[in-house]
Amino acid sequence: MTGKERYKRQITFEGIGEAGQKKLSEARVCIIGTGALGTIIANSLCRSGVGFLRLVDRDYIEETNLQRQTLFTEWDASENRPKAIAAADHLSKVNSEVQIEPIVDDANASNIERLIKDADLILDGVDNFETRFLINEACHKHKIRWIYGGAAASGGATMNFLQEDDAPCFRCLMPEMPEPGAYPTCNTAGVVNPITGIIASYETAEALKILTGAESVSRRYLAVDVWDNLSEYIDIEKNPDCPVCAHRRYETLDSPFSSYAAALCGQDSWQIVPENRRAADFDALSARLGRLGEVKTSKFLLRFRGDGVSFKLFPDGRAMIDEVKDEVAARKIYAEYIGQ
Amino acid sequence: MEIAFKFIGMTKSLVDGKAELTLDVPENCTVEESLGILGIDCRTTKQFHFAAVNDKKSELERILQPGDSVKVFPRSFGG
Ligand SMILES: [Zn+2]
Repeated sequence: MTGKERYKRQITFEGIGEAGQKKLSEARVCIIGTGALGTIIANSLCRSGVGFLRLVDRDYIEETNLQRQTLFTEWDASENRPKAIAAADHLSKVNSEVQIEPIVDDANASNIERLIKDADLILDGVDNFETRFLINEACHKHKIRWIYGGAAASGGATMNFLQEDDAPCFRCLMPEMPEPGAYPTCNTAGVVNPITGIIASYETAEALKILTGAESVSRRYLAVDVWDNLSEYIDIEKNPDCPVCAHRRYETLDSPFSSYAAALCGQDSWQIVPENRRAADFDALSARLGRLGEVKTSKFLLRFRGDGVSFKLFPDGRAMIDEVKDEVAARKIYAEYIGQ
Repeated sequence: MEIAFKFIGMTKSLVDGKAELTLDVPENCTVEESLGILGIDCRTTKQFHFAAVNDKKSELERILQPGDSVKVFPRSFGG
């Protein structure tokens, strides 16, 4: 199955046409976060024939994801497969013409520029503002367009950041990064799947417009709430004193990278990213941890459960520590069970 | 002067679930002060992201004029 027949309906649409389809087939898109928003965006862009898709996600699939994260199955959840891998596997069966590069990693200051630099457009599917501040700075530095999207409960919002001279950046929209814990989480607010579908679909529509050079690309902030029957378009102005887009000060990007921990939205777990990333020796760890509890390994993950401690370890040394109340408790478990 | 307020999504919980209300505010009242009258501290409230006046994101210090409409937006964080 190749080419024209597959895309017939969208080539017939006058907004895209033959010329637009060619541009899509030559486009390179990076989707950061392949949860609810990211899976829907990836699915739509893959079916639309975007030539290259990089899917970045640090997380693995759990049963609570299935309600809204459309590319995953019960088997993926039972195996705790990494989201980026499962999404890429699924989509490669949907459209084998698209080159898909799954990356199982946390997008952070040490790797964000590498992840975005060779892409024409970045789409936001992340669940936290720290990563969005980072995407904003890296994209401004390298003049790469990106699309913000966020959703929670029954509401969501999206906005394009096009790197135009007088246009605002994400930092103009949100001058201060909220402290982790200073905003509600998916745990406390919940989310219904029409809103993630709608926000992801708006992001996808804007992506298609940006990549095909449509004049109707949106320059406003859009907020939608499906329970309250509203959609609101708001003008956002550039802040003439914005550290990022006015002064080119990249505080998040330039902060020295060290070992760090992050609470994971929607889960009672913490991610630990060690400073020196080196391959975890699953065989040696399995032998050692097997004396303390139940260990399961796959190519992507080592799972441990025993004596009130539960975690997942990735081959690159990152770990998700489950059911811990704070960073200190998570780091203690990492040190005692995994080491370094 | 009467100002119309609209609370979007999760910000409704700041005003007992009311999506829309009007409020009589004093002359030279700022956006921040008007929300303060409703018991909302814009600087510390988790749900508050920004306020728009007449569909344009506004500084909190902006002085409201008769006929202005204020919309209050939550932070859209999840993915
Ligand atoms: Zn800015």
